[in-house]
Amino acid sequence: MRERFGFIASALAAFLFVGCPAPPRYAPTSRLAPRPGELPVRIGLAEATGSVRIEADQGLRLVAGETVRLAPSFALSPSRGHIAVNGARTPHKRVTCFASTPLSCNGVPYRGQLEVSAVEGALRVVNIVGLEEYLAGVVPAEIGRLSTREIEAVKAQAIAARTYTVANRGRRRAQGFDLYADVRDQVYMGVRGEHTVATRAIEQTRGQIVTYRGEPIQAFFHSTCGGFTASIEDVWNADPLPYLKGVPDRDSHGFHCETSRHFRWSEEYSPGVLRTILSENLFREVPNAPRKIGTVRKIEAPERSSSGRVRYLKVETNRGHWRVSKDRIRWALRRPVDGNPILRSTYIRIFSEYDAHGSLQRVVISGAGNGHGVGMCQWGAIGMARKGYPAEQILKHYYRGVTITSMRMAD
Amino acid sequence: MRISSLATGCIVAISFVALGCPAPPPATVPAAGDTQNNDTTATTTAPELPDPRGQLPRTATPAPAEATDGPDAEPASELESAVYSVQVMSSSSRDAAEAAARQVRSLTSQPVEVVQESGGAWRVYAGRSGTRTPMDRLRDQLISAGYSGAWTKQRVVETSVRDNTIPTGESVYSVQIFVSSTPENARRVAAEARSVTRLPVEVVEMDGYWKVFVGRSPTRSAIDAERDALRQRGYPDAWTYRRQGTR
Repeated sequence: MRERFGFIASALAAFLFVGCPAPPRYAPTSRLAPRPGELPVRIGLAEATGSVRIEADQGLRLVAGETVRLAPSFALSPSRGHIAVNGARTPHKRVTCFASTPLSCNGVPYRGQLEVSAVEGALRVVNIVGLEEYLAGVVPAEIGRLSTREIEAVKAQAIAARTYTVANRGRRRAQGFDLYADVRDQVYMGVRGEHTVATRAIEQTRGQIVTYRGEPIQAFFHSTCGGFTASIEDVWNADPLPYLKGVPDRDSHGFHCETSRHFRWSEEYSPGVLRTILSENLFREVPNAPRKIGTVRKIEAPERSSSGRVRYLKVETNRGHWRVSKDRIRWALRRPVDGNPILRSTYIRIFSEYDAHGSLQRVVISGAGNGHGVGMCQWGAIGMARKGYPAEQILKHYYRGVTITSMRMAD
Repeated sequence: MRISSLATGCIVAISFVALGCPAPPPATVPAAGDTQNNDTTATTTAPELPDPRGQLPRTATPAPAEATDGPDAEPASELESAVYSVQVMSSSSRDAAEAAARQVRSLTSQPVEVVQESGGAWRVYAGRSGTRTPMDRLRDQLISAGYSGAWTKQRVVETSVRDNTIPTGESVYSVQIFVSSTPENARRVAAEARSVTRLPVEVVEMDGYWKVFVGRSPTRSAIDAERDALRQRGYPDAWTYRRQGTR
């Protein structure tokens, strides 16, 4: 009896002394860590920065040539074409940092390695990271931090983002990396951008991409299509692609993206506001447009595609007339609100009213959707997920004629 | 106490700690459920966008393209009537619509309904009126309360109801003049109505609301004349219902 009591007491004492282990500072990603054969991606964090501070919780090492340094942090700066470490110039133009935990670059944590190079008197910082861990920092930023109820939409976004990455790897080779970490490619926020539902979605779709005739597609996506997605040639001066054709975004239960607050919208412009906005923006989109466009007499969009997107905007003033094509209309006809954000979409109808003298009185635009409209509608994907559609069906709805394929290793 | 027991206990405890506290169970992915209908629409062109002038607020939330606005229409059938209501919101989620309806009910004494329409969307409607003006007032009230997408819509409503005050297998036509969420209001209106009609006036509870009916007629046409008279006597929301017995 006393032995049993002693056993229990000692076990309890040891337990209380040692305690439960503290939760890791960063979410565990052993599930997404690179596997043999999986190529990492190089993400450009900074192209020309003056100084960088690299830190890590455990095991930070800086490798420069054959030299390895260990320290809790390193301050790097450019020095006459080479890299200075903690103020001391080195003969190296490139160093690489590794750690047992995520590395912080100026306080922002990233998984993988950080490569710092001296380029034209400044520093370039590249995050070399496993593809799946990269996606963990991308997907929530693209589609949002959704609930498990919408995980099929997150999986669809994960597959689309992976496809974009694979299709565009090396796109920024001239800059020394694969992709930018911002809207020029995909918004990548590192560890801070991760979310458990997205991590799970990435894990469950590991290695899957969207292909057309064996090749990864250009997996464009946007916020809200407004009920009908756009063909790529309706939006940009691009060749048609068979898998980027406008499709009706609905089923027998309704429009998939109708819960988006941008599903339907309207904007109203007075003649004065129209003049100001066009004067500030038209010349950026149309080479021969003047800075001061004069009095607006007419603004119309006489032609539209079958996807509802207008083909061009026709602007007529007392100083001339000009056309703005396709998606550039959104930048020319910015919204008459604080900050003048771009027009939500080109899926619009323009209503113009005139007074008894034929002068323009007001212009009202009825619109649908938010974004270019090509490819996957993110709000539509969310709507489909809520209705019970699986990720593969969601992707095949927006990208017609495609296949969901598992990548070969070292693809 | 033997040292071996002490050591064993420590080893067990430390082993437990080394393995870690049990991780919480992973959240389950919701079942995909029955596969929904495939995209069966034959539409190959995008739907036309509505003219928002005079109808939609500047920052409108969705208004379906099929919405209409016009004078009172003749009923499509004896089981339907065209009425004006305020559409407060539209959602693909019934839960979202029900939640919104609960909030709207706290703002108005008008009946608030959640309706799934032919396109599949769940819509929240407030009020029913034979004329537009009272619904425009309700719309403005709801917009002021933050429902910026509220708008007045004419819609066709079914005007056949199941009534447990009538024997099963029988049906009658009555004019409904008022609906309330409280029996007191309904009884008050019924008492007032008895002074302007010779037909019997009754208060009936249905689906959580108290409804005031005037008359019981075997045919619709016979009671429609009373409906028109009541509309002239201060009951603009009067319309004819077929009451199907379930008693």
